[in-house]
Amino acid sequence: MGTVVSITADPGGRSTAVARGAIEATCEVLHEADTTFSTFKPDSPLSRHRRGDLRSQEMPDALSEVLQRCAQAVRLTDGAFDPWAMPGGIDPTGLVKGWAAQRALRPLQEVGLAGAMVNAGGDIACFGDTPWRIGVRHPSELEQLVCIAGVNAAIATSGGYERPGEILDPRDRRPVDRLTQATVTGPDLGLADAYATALVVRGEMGLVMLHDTDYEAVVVTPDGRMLATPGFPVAPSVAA
Amino acid sequence: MKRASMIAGGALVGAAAVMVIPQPGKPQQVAVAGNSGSTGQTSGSGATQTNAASGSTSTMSGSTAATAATSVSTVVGALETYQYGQLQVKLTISNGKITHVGFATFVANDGRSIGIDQQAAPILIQETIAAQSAQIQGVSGATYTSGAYDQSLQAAIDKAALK
Repeated sequence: MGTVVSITADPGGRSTAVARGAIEATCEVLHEADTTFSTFKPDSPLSRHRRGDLRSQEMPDALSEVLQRCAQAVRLTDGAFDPWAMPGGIDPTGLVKGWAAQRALRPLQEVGLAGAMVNAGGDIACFGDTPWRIGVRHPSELEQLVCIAGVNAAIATSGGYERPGEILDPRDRRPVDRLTQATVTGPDLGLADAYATALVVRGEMGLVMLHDTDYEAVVVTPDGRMLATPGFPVAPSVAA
Repeated sequence: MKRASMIAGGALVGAAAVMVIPQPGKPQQVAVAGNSGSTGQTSGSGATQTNAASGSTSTMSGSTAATAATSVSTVVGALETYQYGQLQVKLTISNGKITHVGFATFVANDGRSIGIDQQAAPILIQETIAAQSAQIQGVSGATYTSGAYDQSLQAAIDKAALK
């Protein structure tokens, strides 16, 4: 999927060998996801699905699950995240990376580690007894952080600046950056990722869609303001 | 200086919550969250119409709550219509600084009107934090591709962890 994944594990009472084994299983899950969802490989199930060349009985469970999650995200974002509205056919990339990282966390949970974190190019799924301290990068001041989030499960960031023109408004299919950067925390990384993309599309007004959800956001506006939803899990600047 | 004025702003709006994030050795990062109830007095007849999206910080006088040396005012932006609904942005300004950004009105395209002010008004973060001194375990930033990883803060953290 063209990204680097960092895996951090805290073995707790388990041996290093157990942790290493779980990390290998995690890598395996990520490679499987890449095989299924690659848009670069013409024979990947996703590429075939995009061409209308994949029969329904051939569809891997992972692909149908992702399509289902995408449909849910379309509803929850009022259509501001819509993988079906992309030129060139369905493109679930905005959700897949987060979904895969979330799934890749499972082997690490199953062996009973004290905590672990899978960071897929800045989208992070994690678990542990204490929240992980995750810096939210500032979009233009590279040595600065917008804030530090205390993350229990997932945090995802979207912004149009790193791959300009990549985020399109599904309503008119034009590139948008009503927010320079949007970061979303919550229980599931795939949905957090979709919400972050939807916020860039909708702008600060889009923060209303997180109202009454388990998701929180911190965003940077094009005029440089930094805004957080009231429940955003801000961690103290220096660890206690 | 900034800190003092922010806390004053918080005190003035009464019920507003003041969130202080400790940052030893530096001025503390302070964000003030309020709601329409506590600033309601100032947003009454005297509110001026301005384009909030431009980040205008023009203050206004004559608000009933701001009797002390600190001037607190509320500016309501024009009703903006965009593809996902209609919205008015409301800014609370204390001594010329924006201390609170809220929504006065949000009407979704399907007619849902949401009382955003009370529960979901965003908090303004006043200051960034130096990454170097932040003691973080990971970085969330917009996607870095494999090509950009080597230069990323995450790469530096990973290297430090492997030592």
